[in-house]
Amino acid sequence: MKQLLLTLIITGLLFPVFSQKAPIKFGKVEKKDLLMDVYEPDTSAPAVVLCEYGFFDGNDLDFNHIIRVKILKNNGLQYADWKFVTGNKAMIKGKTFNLVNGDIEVEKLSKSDIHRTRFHDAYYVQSIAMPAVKVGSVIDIQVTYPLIPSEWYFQRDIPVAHSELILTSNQYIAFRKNFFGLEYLTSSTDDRYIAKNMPAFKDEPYMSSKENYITKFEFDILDIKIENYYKAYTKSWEHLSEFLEKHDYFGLALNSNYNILQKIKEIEDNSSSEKEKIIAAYREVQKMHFNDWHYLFTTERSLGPVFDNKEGNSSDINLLLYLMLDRMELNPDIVVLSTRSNGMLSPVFPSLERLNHCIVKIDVDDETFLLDATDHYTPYYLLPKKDLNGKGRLINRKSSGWVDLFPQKKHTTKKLLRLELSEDGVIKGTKSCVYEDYSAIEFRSNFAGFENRDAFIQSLLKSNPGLSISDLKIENLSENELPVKLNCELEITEKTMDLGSEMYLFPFLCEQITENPFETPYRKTPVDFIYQIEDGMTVSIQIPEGWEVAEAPQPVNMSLPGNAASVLCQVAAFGNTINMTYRFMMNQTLYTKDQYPDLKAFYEQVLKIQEQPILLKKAE
Amino acid sequence: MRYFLLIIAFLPFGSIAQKTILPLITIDSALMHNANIVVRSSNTDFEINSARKATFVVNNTIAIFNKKGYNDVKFSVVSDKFKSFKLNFMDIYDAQGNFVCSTTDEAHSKHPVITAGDVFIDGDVNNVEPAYHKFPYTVSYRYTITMHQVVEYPDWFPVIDYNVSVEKAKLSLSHPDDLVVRINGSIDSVKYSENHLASGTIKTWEINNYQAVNKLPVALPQTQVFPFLELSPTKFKASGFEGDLSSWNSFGLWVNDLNKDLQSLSEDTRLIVKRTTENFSEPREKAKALYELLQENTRYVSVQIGIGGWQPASAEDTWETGWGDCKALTNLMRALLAEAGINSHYCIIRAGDPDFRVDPLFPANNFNHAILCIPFENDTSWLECTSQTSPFGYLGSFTSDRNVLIVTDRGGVLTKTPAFSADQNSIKFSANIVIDHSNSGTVSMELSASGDKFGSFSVGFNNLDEQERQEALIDILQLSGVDFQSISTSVLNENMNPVFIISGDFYMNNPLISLGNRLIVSPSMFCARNTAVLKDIPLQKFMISEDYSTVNELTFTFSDNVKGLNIPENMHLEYEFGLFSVTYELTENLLKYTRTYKQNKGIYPEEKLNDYLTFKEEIRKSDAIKIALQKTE
Repeated sequence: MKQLLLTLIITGLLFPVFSQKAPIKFGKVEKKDLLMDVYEPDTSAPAVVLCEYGFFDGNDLDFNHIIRVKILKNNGLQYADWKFVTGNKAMIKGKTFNLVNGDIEVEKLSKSDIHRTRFHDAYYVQSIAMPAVKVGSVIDIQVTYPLIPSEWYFQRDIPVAHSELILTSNQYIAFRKNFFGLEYLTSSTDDRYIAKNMPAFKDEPYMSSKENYITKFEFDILDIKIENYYKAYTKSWEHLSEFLEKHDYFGLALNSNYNILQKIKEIEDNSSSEKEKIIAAYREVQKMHFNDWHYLFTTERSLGPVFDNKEGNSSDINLLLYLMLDRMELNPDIVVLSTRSNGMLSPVFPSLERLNHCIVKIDVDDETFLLDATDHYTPYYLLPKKDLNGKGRLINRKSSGWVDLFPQKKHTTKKLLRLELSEDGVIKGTKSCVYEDYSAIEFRSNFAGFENRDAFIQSLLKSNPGLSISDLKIENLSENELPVKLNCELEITEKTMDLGSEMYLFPFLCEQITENPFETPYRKTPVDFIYQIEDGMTVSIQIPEGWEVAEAPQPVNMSLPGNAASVLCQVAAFGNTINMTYRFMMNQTLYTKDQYPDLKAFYEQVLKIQEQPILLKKAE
Repeated sequence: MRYFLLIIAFLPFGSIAQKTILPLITIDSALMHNANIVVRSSNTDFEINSARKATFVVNNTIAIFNKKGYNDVKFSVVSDKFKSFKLNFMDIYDAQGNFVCSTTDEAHSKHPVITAGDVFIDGDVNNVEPAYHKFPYTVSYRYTITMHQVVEYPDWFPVIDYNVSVEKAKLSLSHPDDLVVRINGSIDSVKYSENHLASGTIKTWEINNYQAVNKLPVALPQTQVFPFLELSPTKFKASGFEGDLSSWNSFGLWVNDLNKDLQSLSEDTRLIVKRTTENFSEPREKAKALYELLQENTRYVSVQIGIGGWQPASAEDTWETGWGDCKALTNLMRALLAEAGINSHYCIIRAGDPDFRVDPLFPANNFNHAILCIPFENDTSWLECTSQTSPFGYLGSFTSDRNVLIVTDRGGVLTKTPAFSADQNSIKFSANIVIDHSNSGTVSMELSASGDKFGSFSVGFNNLDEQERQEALIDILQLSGVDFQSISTSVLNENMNPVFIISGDFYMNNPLISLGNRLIVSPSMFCARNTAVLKDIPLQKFMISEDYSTVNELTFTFSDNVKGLNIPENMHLEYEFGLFSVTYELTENLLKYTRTYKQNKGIYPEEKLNDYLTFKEEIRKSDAIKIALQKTE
C-alpha cells in the first residue's frame, strides 16, 4: 500500500498538471441560466443539459462527472432525478438553484435524497432526486468515483448545449473508447472531446437500437497495472477469449452432471449421424424455459442445476447446448455477441461491456450452423431475429474471428384464394397460406400468444369485420423445420359496394394494409427490416352469372432504384373469373436515410394499390 | 442391529419418494371448463390476537394450466415495519401429482417500493410467483403475514379472477370477544359457521365447487360477480393515535387528529401567501392564486397513503423541500389557504380504478389518495394537489364521481365527488376537407375535449413536441399520407368544465379513392374504429363504465358538383344505454356528414345484451360505409 501511494505521488510530479480550463465549475451557476425560459435551438425541449463535463484524472485515477440541467417545462421535472452507475465508493454533491424575487436561492442535496442499489458485481446505481426543483430551476450534480464509466453520452433524450470529456493519459490504466452516433463532435483532440448543441435523441419506427445511433463513447478497460492489482481485460479478442475461458461463470461453468451425461448417451444411442445428434441436442435444449434475460454469464458455477431445473438465462441455455455437443466430440465453438436491442458490436475493437449473449457454431458435413436454443419457434438452421445484429465473435483459442449474423432466409408468405362472389355482395371461398422461414417463426410465436385456437380466430374476426371463418386447419405448428400451412373456408361481407346495376369489389380482403409505418417526413436512422420480405398472393374470384367486369385497376409493376423494393399487381378477367396476382418484395434488409423518401412514397403507393376496387356491371 | 440400521437408512428415502399430491385428473370436468387455474384447496387463517397484533396465514394448492393462470397466481404484498411477510414454502408437483422441486427461493423477490420520483420509502414490495413454467402443474405454497399495527384487515377473494374454478376455499377468522370485527361482502354461495371458545370466537366461511366464469369484453368488475368478504377492525391504534371505524364520523376524527398541528408556516412563507393574495378580494380568486403558487413550487413524488404511513409531512417541510406525496401536498395547500383566511377540508378517496367502490354502509379504510375540498359560499371546489397542470377546481377520471371522506374537526362526512354528464364528458370533432382537381385534400380540423377527456387530452398533449403532436394526431385520426401545416392547442373556460382544444391544418395526398370521374369517399374517416363486435355470447349482465358523448361533423367540398350513387338513409338509434345518429347532406359540391354517439353509464340486465351488441354492430356498419360519387360536370 505504501508503495502504491509512493508511486502515485511520483506520478503526480512527473506529469504536468492539466492546464485546460474546465467549461463548468460545480455550483457556479450564472443568473442568465436561471432567467432563460426557452432553449432557442429546440423550443419544445422540456429541459436542457446546459453543460456536462467529464474529467478523468490520471493522477488519482478518479473520474469526475458534473452535469448542469435547466428545467424548462412541467414535463421536464423528471430531469430532477438522475442515475449514475458507479463503483462501491462515490462522492456525490448536488445543488438546486432557483430565482426568487431576483435573488438566487440554493438548496443542497441531502444524503437522504440519494439511494444506492447494487446492480451487479461491484457496480452500483446511484439514484438522485434533487430537492426544490420547479420549472425554471437549474441543478448541478457532481459525482466522483474511481476509474472510468463504461459509457459517456454526448447526446441525451433532451438537448445538450455543451458536453465535454477530458481523458488524461496515464500508465496505470489503459482503456479504449469506441465512438457511436449520428451527430458530429465539435472538436476532438488527443484527450479532449467537445460536442455542442446536440439535439435530443428520438426513437424512430423500425430502428434497430438506440445504442447504435445515440452519440456516445463506449469505454473498455484494457488493463489496470497497479501493484498487487493486475487484471487483464479486453486488450484484444484473444485476451477476452482467455478471460472468458477462465471465468467462473463462463468457461469454468462448463461441467456436466449425471443427468446431462444420461441425456447425451440417450441422444447418441438414438442418432445415426453427426447432424442428427446436433439436431437432437438442439431440440432437447430448446425445450428449456428461457427466463428472458440476455446475459453473457451463467447464473451458477455449473450447468448441472440449469439442466435439472429446465430453466435459465441466455448463456445458461446456449452453453448447455455447447457442453452437450462438446461432450459428443462434435467440435462446437462459442460465438459471443450483442443482441439487437443491446446495440451493435464495434467492428474494430473488442468490448466485453457490450456482450450480452452467446450462441453455438458447429461445422458438419461441409455445412456450418449457428445455433441459438433460447427461442422455441426457430429451426436449427436459422437464428432468431434478436441475434441478427451484424457480427459476433468466435471465442476459441485455436482460431479467432468474426462470424456473420445475417439472416440466411427471407420472411416469405404465399397465399392462394379461390373465391366466389354472389349477387348480394358476399364473397365466399377457400384460403390457403404458406408461411416460410422467418414468416413461419413469426406465425408460431404470434400463435403461441393466444390461449387457444379459438382466441386466435377471434382476433382475426375482430380485426376483419364482416368475416367468418370455418374449417381452420393449421399444419406444422410444432415442426420448426417445415413451413406453417393454414387452410380455411371464409366468407366476407363489406368488401363490395352495391350501386344497383353496378357493384364495386375490393379484392384485398384481409390483407389490406391501411397504415403507412413511415408517416414522418424526415428520418435520421436507417430503416431496419431485419430480413428480406416477400409476400405473394394469387386470388381468383368467380363473379355471378350475368355480370361482367366494367373497369379493372391498371396493372402496376413498380420498383425502387436498384430493385430495393418492388410491388406488382395485375388484375385480369377471363369470362366470369377475375384473377389477381400480387407480389410485394422488400429486397434489402436495411434502408439508409437517403432511401427513406423513396421508401415512404413506395408505401403510399402500396396503400393506394390495395384500396383500388374493380367495377362490375350487369350485362345487358 | 444390522437390520435395524438398514431400516433407519431407508425411512427418509421412502418419505421423500412419497411426497405427492392429487393428480390433475381428479379435477371434476365441470370445474375444468373455461378455467385457467383450479384452486384445489385454499385455507386462510386469520388470527387476531389483539388490536395490535394479528397473523394471516394462507395455504393454497392450485392447479395451473397456462400462462394466464400463472399470472393469476402471482401476487404482491407490501411489508414495512408494521407488517412482515414470509413465504414459508412453494412446491411444484407435476400433472401426475409427483413432487418436482421446491421453488421457495426463486419464487419470492423483494425490493424497496419504487415510485415515480424514484424516492424511496420505508417499505418493501414482496413479489411472489411460482417461478416454474412447464404447464400444466400444481403449486402448493404457504405464506404468513404478521401485523403489528392494524388499520385495515386483508380482504378475502376466494375466486381471484374470471376463468378461475375453486374446489374448496375456506376462511377462518378468530378473534377475542372484546374485539369487534365488522364484516361486509357478497356472501351468496358461501357457507358460514361460528364456534365460541373461551379464548374468543372462530368464524369460518367456505365455498365449494365454484365453476369458472368466462371473461367477456363487456364483463362486470370482479367485485360485482364473485363472492368476497371485506373485514375491518372497529377500534385500532396506529401512528400512536387511537381510532374507531364504527362510523365514517369517528374514522374522520382519527384522520383529523393525525393532521393536527401540521399546518403552521414560517414567517417567510406567510409573507409569500400575503403577497400572492393581496391583489384579490374574492376568496375564490385568492384560492386560485394560491393553487397556482403550489403548482409552480412543488412537484409530486408518489408515496401512497398506507405505505408511507398515514400522517402527512408538515406544511412547512413540504414547502421547503418542494416535493411531497398527495397527503403532504394537500396538507400544504390547506395550510396556504388557511393563512389567507379560507377554510378547507382534507379529504381521503379511493383514486384510480373506478371498479373499486367504497361502500358507504361499511366504514373501512379503503382509501389511497388525498385531495382538498373548499366549501365556498355557493358551491364547493375540489383540488387535486399533485398535478402541476390541472386547472383550479378540476378533478379528472382519477378522482371524479366516487365516494370521498371529508375530514373536519367534528369528524368525517362521506359524500361524492362531482361527476360529468354524458354531454359534459365529451369529444367534439369537426373538419373541413377541401378536395382539389387532383383529388388531394386540404383539411382544417378542430377537436374539443371536455370532462374527464379534458384531463386525458391535456396531459397527453401538453408534454409533446411538434413532431410528437403530429404523430399523436396521425394516431388518433388514423391519418395516412399527411403533411401538417400547423397544430395548436388552447384551453377554454379555465374554471369548472374546462375544454381542451386541438386545431390543426394539414394536407392529405389521398383522402379518397378516385376512379376517373368517380370518387369513393369514407365519410366517417377520422372517427371510425373498424373492429368487429362479438356475436353469440352467452347472455349476462353488462356494464357501461362512463357517461360519454361524441359529435363528429365532416364537410367535404369537391372541385366539381357531384351526385351520389349510393347515399345511405339517415340513421337514428336510441336505447336506454345510448344513442347513435348519422345524417348525410349532399348539395351541389358539398357533402356534410354528422355523427352523434352517446352512452349512458350503468349496469344493464342480461336481456338487454343482445340489443346492446346490435347497437354496436349497427354503429360499426355505419362507420364502414363508403359513398360513391359521380362528377356531374
